[in-house]
Amino acid sequence: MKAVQVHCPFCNAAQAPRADGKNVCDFCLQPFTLVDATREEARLLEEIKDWLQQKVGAAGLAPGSVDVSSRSYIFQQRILPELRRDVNRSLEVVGGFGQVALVTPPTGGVRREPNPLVDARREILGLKALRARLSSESVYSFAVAPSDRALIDLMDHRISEVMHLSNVADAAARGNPLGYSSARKNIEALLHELNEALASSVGAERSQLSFLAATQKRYRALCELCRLSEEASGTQRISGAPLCVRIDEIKATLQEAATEIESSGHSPADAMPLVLGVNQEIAAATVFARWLTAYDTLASRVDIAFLDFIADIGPLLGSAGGELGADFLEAAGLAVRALRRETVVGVIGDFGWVDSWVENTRAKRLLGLFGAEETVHALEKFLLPVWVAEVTFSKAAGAVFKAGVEGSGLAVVDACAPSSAKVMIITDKAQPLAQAVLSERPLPSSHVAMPRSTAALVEPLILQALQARPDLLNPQVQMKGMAFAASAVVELRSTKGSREVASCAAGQIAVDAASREQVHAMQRLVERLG
Amino acid sequence: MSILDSLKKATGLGLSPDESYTRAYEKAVLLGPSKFGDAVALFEEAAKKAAEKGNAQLNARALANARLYAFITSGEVTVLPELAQLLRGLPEIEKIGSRNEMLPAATVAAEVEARIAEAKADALPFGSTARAVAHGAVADVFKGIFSSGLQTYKFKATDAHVETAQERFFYHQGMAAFHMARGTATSNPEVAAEHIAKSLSAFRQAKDERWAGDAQTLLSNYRLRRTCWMCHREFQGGDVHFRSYPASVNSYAVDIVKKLSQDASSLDAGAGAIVLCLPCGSAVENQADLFARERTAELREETNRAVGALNDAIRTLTNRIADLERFSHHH
Repeated sequence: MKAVQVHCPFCNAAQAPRADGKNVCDFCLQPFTLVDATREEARLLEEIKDWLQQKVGAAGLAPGSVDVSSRSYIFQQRILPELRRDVNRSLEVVGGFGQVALVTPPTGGVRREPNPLVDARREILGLKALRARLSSESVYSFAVAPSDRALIDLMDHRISEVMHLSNVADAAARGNPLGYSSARKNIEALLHELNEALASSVGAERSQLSFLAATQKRYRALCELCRLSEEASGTQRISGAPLCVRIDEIKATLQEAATEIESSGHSPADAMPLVLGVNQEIAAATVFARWLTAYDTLASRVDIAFLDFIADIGPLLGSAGGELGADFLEAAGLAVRALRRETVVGVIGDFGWVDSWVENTRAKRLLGLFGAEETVHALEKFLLPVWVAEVTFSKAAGAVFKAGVEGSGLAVVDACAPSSAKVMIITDKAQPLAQAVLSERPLPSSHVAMPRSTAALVEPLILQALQARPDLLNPQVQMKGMAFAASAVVELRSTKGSREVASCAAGQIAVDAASREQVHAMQRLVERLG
Repeated sequence: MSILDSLKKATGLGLSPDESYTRAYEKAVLLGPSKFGDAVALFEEAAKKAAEKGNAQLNARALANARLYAFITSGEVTVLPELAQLLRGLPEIEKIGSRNEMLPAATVAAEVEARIAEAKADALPFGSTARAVAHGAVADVFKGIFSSGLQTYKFKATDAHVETAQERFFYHQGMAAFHMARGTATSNPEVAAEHIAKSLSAFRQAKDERWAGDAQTLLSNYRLRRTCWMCHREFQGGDVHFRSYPASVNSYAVDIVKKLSQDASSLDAGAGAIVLCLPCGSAVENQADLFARERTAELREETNRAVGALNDAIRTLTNRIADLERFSHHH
């Protein structure tokens, strides 16, 4: 007995109807009723009938009214050119779709890249009418020769592929288990079509076979990526490490697929955009693995699902998502590990200077009579994360006979709000500050600010600071890592108002009073994640 | 250091070849890029002294540095062949701006050879197959040092790919395919689309958004097919084999085309345009041009006639005024 099937009124995909009549398309995730589906199917049939009538006349539609050779002639002269033209024109709206990643795994704040498969969604779903025409029995009956039928199948395959790919991109972009599950179903449907194409392409060109086999490999890897994303985006706590191992395997398969697509000998106009798309998928999988690793590090002490972790951490990252977000998370992860004493770091931990600094900073009444007297309203001592870099340079030495000599040192900059103006350059590594930064030990305090920058972002700022120093020539920078420096923010009040002043390492490292907010941000993070 | 030594360093007099070589660093290179120009003469001096003392190795190294600093300060490509040759004879060479940090000379030599090939490619006509081949040759040189960092490009460059050989490899691979596409678009847009797709992929890998954008536009255009409004033939290659021309297109015209199941992309009511293939479009343009020229000639003739008549009238009036003036003087 043949199973009853219903066609989705949005994407025309066939599926089994639900008993309660409230269907949601497995492929495009649009809800529909049986009535909607039946009405749309009837409308499409009427449209096909009108179209065919225009080509062959009303009499030509009656079964057996046109002989075989006339049918073949009508197909070649009237039906095929128009079908071919309509397929080509309709695919123009998604031109360049191969270049974008089909599946975006769940990571925080990913900036959405333009994707024709999603941006032209309405037009792509509109292709169902053309697909219905291509798969219509009445149209197919005019394709008498097997080669004609193969042409129709090929055009149908192209449209079907684009519709499924659009479903994949749209569903995966939802970033939830339902989306990834639907994306996987679409890829499985594509794989099924590919298997059929490979089975029926005996005697086809080798380049075509290699291309199809490489595409098959890509789809299999993407299926696994969807399955993995589905697992990661569930409501239960997960362990990121085993998923990262699977991601490595997916990346290796995708890399193989990209190489095979490129070397297949298939038309580069079709193949090369796909290579770009696969490379983006590899990059997205890499970022996914980094987020999972950060999740393992930061959320190791609490029972929190990966998506909840992303939602929690999102506001702390601001607009930085994807790869940059992963960079930020790694920096934050380092600070948290130092805070938990899971790692040793460079520390300038002496807070002995704070009291005298506060006293010197506070405005006092002149001769006990003139001006405003400031009082300390609040004082917060904390450890400020700082980026440390090794720097090399040359400089002029000698008073009378100047000669260039080479030197090296360290550069230190506030990791909460770095700028080139705040970079501190230490040209003598024997200085106590340099020694403290270089000697690693457990963090002595639990009061730490959250780093809000990455080593990659800071490196050019340090180079800029070196270039701004006329005495330091031919500068080179190599990032070393993160250290922590004793800092304080004091809120001073007087009859004239209040002000906040900050200092780090007894005024040696420039810091903003706003870094105090990052101490609170870190406290919130630790409260949530343990 | 004694005063005598300091004086020797300051003047360069009485220094050994090694000391002269060190002097080039102390008195120029290590004093920063603004003094790199001075290093050329100092290295040449050290090379001369080394040659006089029969120290061939130091002579070659000093000469190589003299040419290297000459290039990065002047951008003069004529020094590059000699520089490449000198570098090929050395095991290693100092990194630019440093005396202590050494690099394999063969890597720098390959970079210099790539620069020579780049200069040759840039001199060839834009969009020519010869230029495509030349860029391909440059890419091959960079492929040889694929994982190396670049030394000279940070000091002299005409584009943004100054950090790694990998970037420049992809950039030139992209340029090779780009020029090949431009060279073949008029004869075969399908093949041109294949070349430009390769170019797009390479530019993306070189992270060159500007060229990738151009390649993307060309790829879309080369793959585009349209039916000519006049001859009803389908052509491939937008802006090459067909083009949009301004026309009065209303919804009525669009409806007729749709009812007849003809190619609706041949006309655009919104933009007020129809598509014409190159032969039809050029025929219209040429004929319009011919009509315009004929009409211009006619107008010129008419204007010349009118101006001639006016000149005659002015001449007659001038003569009459002159006659009247003469007449009044007599009386």
